[in-house]
Amino acid sequence: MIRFVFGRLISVILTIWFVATLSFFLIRLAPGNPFANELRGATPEVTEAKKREYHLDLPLREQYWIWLRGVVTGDLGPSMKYRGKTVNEIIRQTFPTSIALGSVAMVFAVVLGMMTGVIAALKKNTPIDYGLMAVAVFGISLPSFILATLGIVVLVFWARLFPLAGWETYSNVLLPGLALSLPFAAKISRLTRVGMIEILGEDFIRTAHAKGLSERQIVIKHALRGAMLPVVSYLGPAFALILTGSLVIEKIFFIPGLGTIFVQAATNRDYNVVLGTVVVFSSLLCFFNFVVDLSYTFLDPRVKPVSGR
Amino acid sequence: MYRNLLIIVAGCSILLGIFFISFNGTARGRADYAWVNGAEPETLDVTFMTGQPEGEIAFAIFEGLTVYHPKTLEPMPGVAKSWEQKDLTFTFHLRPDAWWVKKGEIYTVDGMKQNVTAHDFVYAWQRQCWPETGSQYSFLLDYIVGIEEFKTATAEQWKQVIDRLAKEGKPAPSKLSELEEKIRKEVEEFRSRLWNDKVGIKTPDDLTLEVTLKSFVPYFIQLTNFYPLFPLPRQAIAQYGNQWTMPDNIVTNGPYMLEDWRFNSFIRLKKNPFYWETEKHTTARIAELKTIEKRSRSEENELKLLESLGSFEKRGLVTLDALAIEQEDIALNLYVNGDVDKIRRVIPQVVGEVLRENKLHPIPHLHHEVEPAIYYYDVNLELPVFKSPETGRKIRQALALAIDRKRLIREVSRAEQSPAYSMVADLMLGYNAEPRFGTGDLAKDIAEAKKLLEEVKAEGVTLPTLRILYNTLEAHKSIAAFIQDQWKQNLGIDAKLENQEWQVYLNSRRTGQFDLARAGWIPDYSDPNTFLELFTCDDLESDKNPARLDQPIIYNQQNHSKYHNPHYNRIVLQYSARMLDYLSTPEKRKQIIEDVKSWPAYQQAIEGKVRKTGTTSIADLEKNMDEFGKLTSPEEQLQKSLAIRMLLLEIAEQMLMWDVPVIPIYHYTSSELWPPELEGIASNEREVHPPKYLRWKGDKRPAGSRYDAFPRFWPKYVPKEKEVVTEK
Repeated sequence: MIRFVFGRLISVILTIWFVATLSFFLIRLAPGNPFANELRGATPEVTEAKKREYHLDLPLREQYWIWLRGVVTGDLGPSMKYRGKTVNEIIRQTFPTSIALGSVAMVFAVVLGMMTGVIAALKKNTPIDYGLMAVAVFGISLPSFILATLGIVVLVFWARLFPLAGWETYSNVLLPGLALSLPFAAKISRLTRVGMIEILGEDFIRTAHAKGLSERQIVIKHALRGAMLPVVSYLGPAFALILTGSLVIEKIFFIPGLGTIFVQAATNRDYNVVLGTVVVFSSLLCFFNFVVDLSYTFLDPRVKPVSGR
Repeated sequence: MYRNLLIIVAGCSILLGIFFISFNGTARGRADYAWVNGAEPETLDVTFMTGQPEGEIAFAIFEGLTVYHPKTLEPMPGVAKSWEQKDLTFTFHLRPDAWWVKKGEIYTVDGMKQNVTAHDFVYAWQRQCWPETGSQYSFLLDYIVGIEEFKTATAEQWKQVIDRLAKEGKPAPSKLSELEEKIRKEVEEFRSRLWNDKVGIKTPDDLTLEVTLKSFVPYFIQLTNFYPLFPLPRQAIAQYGNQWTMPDNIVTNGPYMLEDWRFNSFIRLKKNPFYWETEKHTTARIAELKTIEKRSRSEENELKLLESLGSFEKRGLVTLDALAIEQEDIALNLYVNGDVDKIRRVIPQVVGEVLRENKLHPIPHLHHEVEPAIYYYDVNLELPVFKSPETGRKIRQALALAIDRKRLIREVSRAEQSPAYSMVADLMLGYNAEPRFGTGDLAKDIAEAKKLLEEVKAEGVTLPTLRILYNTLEAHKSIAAFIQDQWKQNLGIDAKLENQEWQVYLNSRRTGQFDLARAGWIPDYSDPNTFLELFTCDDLESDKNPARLDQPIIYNQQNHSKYHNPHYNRIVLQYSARMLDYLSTPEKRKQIIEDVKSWPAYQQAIEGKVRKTGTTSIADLEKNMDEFGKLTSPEEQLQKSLAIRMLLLEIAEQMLMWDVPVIPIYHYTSSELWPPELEGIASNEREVHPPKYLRWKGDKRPAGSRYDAFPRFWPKYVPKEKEVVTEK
């Protein structure tokens, strides 16, 4: 078990290093630089002075070492666009917001998705099942920003139930959380349904029926467990996707999260911020996959940790 | 038995726990005034600021020698309580009670309360000029005696230091403080000696600042209320380095203080209790202004303003929020919902309809005005097809003529912009702005354009497909597509659209990898120079300095077209910058006129162009030159030289628009929204609104939403059931 965890961890670190290194060179290959703008004072001398300030005058290899040393010691460097701000500080200020939004959306997605999935599976091939799955197809196909806009029109402008935008009180969280979660809820719903239906057709369920167990016991104790496996394996990537995909929602609802920063930094060529966010997001993705792998060993007796990979 | 359920519940609880731990929302409460400030400010350090979002904050937390009048933008007393001008020297008298403030207290150094002194200005202006600073606005100081020399000499010395260190294998420094003690001292001494010897900025005492200009620039005094010339707290910067602008460290002198700064979210500002404009001060100032018998126009405006608004201490708003929102659709929603009190623009998708509605039922929230900013296309003059002075010019002119700008505005851009047939907008005082090409009748213009093209084709020139470059944005795309269609229909010229991401587009423009490229320019100050200077270059012909003989042409940063006209360069960069010098003798005056007349296209473009005044510009110029020779008093000569300067600049514009290195499309319009209850705010050409003057009618922010002000766009929601009930 320890060997399994340890081996996994090493591959996680290697993956993050690889992604970060690749991004480091890619972003520097992109045309433009963090100081380019349209102003008349942006003379070559001005750009030179600024490049020197951020070590961009050094050879690429040296820049890479400086940066990598920083990352290893937990210092992601200064922002090149926002003077006097460090990447660490920017992430510290914005990442909790994304995490908060993501975890609420995740709860919505799991609760809504599993509930509807189980119901649909139990009422297989009835109008309820068709109805729920039709909604789920919509949920998967409609991007979250359309759902968000619809939500704003109906729930804010018409019904006046929610505040329009901002990140001040808990009521600010509900609408964006819901909009962000729906596509994932739909996916989870379908996964649950398929998993349930498969399990419900298994022999041991028939045996359970024959033993005279109540329907509720069968569903919750036996069927649900099997149905949860595909869902759990989806949760890891889903959480990472929710966090990285919250960009549009963050914009629409004026939420100061990390997703917005990521995209802005890429357009600004704010090298250190781009790389900082890449490191954070890739670490997250790897971490959640790692957690999912671990949880498998608890949930499914068939999966046994064997060796490093 | 319920283990499965428990796992799910536990998982969800953990997530909810994470949520409660990481939720960092701030119930910041309602500010007295919240506005949509656009992008997240890049810095609050005035030396490095360049954009509007930064500027808006700067005008709140810092203050220069003078302050903008909210409507006319005329300078009014700021840190300087008064100033006078004698010849080319301005003397500013600073008020003793303009305090530096830190975290709600007066800033102290070694127990001494710090007020803003002349040295703080000198420090700030020096910092602008240092080569290692890399300030983009230092050119604003170039009008002052010795500044250019100072910048050149310090830059050279800095380069030497870097070279010396490089030889020793040491990295290039980016700051003075990174240098060894000995070298640093050397650099500092060199700079201070140079400054004292060469630069026309003197501080006879702590509260007096004398500034001597190289030549008279009518807009210099206007620049003193622009943020690059604001004072800086020397000690705080020395103490905190580039962290000095963070809320815990920042030392400011404006009417507001920085209370909170959430990245990409908001900046909360709070009224500065130590600001000099107290109730007592305002009363005294009003009395003082009233005793003046012959008030100047700006004094008259100041008096009216003070009387109508009352003092900052008594009526000024207490808390302000600047929201970092870039999306204009969200800004509009927030405004209508009553969450913010000012937005910069109504989105293009609805602005057409809002303006139409406004004509039928005026919307008191809307402030729609033509601005001096211009939308235009750069034409790449290095392209073979555009390069020839004769055929290339004709093609360019044909392209400029064959665009139905009115239809473009009506159907595509839709914000009732003003069609542009010139580069300089009609908002500059003393400048005769008028269409420089075209007849005003589209059919005639197109016929003319066709004729020009025929002539070109007769000479055997074939037209390639032209590429229109723009940065990726729906609005630019639809304008480019419209122009593409116009050229195809009116001239039979094929064009193709090419969009690039912002940074790639900047790069392509800079390196000349385009045929035609979208561009825009917002003036830095109210003078035609801010537009005309863009298309100049520094070269041997226009600058007959032998020391520069081996140097290549240095184009202005914005001269992406690579326009090169020595006559134009001399007028814009030399004559108009040192007008009095160039008018001092009859020979010099004659030389200017000859310079204009020796321009190859002089006869068609200038002598043959009767303007709306009924005269030609050259006739006016000669007349004014003659009159100037007869004047004796320096005051009258100065006034006359200003008139001559404007005429010369007009001639420069005529040259520019004859050569068409750029195709003007339209002048922008503003469509700001703020509620009618807000006082002390007005449309002005730069869209700056100093928060110091903001007041609410009845001193209370009106609550509630503003849906009713836009009935056609946000119809009131009436629940369906009720309607059914009443019908029954």
